[in-house]
Amino acid sequence: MTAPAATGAPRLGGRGRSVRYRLNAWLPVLATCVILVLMLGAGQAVFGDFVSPRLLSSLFDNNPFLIVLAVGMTFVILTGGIDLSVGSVIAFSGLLGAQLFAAGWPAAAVLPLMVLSGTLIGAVVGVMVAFFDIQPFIASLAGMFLARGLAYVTSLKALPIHNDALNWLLGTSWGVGDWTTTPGVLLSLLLVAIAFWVFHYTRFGRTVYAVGGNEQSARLMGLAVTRTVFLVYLISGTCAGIAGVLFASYTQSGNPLAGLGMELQAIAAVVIGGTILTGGSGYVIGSLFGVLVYGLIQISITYMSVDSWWTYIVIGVMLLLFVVFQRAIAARRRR
Amino acid sequence: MAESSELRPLIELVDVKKGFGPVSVLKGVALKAYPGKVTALVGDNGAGKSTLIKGLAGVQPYDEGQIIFDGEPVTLHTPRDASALGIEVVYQDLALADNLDIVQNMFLGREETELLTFDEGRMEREASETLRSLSVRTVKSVRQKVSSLSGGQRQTVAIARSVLKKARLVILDEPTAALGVAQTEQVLNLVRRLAEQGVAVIIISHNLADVFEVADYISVLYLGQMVAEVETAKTTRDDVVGYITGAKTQARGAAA
Repeated sequence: MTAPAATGAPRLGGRGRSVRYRLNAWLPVLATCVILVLMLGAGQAVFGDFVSPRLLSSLFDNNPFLIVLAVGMTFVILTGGIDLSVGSVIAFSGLLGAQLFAAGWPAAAVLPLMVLSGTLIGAVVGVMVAFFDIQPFIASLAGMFLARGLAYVTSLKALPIHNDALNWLLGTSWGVGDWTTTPGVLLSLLLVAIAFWVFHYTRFGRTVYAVGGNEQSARLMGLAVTRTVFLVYLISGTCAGIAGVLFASYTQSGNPLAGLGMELQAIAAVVIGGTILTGGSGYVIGSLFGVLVYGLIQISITYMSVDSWWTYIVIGVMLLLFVVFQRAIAARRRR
Repeated sequence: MAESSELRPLIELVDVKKGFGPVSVLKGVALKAYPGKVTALVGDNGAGKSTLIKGLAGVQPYDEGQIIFDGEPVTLHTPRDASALGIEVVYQDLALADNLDIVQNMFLGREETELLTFDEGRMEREASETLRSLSVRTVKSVRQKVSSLSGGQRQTVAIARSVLKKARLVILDEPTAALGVAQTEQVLNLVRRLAEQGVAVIIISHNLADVFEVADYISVLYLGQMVAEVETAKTTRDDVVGYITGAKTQARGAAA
């Protein structure tokens, strides 16, 4: 192992350069941040006392389940897949919880089971995608119908839940002055932090990016592609189960119609957060910002006291803008 | 020559066969590669080169035959099996993950960890050192995305990755096919340096000039059979062309 002397070789990878190259990758996330700030600024200009601790707190308080869904969805989308089953899992998990609580089960058993119901659906989708090579769209569509069906099997109508532990999650308010938060919100932020760590400081996370970049290359490089793909759906399902718990706590009920279309909201949040649908590029922090942008649009629509369906139109326009923006960045990189 | 015949092959294929339905692509092929030596695998289109390599890479296992690695019979069913043995294949265009940077690619699957984080500094340093030990000077930053690299640079990084992984057998699939003159020269130098570090190298090439420049041994496949295994120093271009086109066959005694 004698390396030939290499005097005069250029210094590879100076600090300044590394920072620049990394910054480039963070551009879409920064853009989302800028848009968030601009929206807050515009709101402040139009409504006067718009930006307040209460508003900023409610951005998080209104959507902890969406944050959790977006975290799971980020894993899946980064591998180049998609998980359409998560919205239905919220309904199934909520109703399962409602029935078990009604039967007198303790929260210590019910809450883990609610989460596990999501893990189970995620495992089914994951097996289909990873081991049987079924398109993620189709596999998770099947998962979506399966979970929605299971929800109806569990109960045909909405069931109220009266449980202190469940209510504690989003019913408790902690705070200083007007800054408030709930245990559920903190849980969702903790999941974001854990996901960030997994993505950037574990081999599994790095493999997720490699698979999204080019699945075949990743396989040929000897990476555990099949296992990784299975695990991302398992994670997404588990996150959906957790989101189901949070949603049940939010509505204090289980409902077979809960979470209808919420998988698409999660996907929208992830895309607005700068993650590319074909996989391999994006950050979980971006997805968090994506949810905040979503929440801010909802609140702004309420402030303007126009009908709530305008939220969808604004989100649609936002999505379009972001996809165009990402195209522009991709084109610039290629040059 | 006496020395080379004593050398133990790192990998030896014995009578491997592979068929796809009624078509048999490999009809009992033998191949040897020695540590510190470059073995060129040549043959016309359809001779079975790719199939032979896919078997070694674990992508497409052989139907029959034996693989002996470092004196031990082994099985290669997945790329992970091959990777675990220290067999690295550098594919023409599927060698790297485009969306990751050079360091990330070089360490993919075996990142250096430190407590609960990656030791990025150490990986960056080792990547730079490896590239430097291979006298690679064309890469601006090891934090560059691989998608921004040229064809030659990508080959370079892919080869450096196998060095960093302490690969024992590196298989290069047409490493110079898409490269210009200067870049080809660079990659061939790299191949030599790889062998100097004690790695067994198998290189697939259509370009006989490259083969004669870099290889110690030449193995010729013709319609699924190994028709010649010769030392580069003891053969000529015309002979090799003869073997490739089937116009000439090696005396059986010499092949054994």
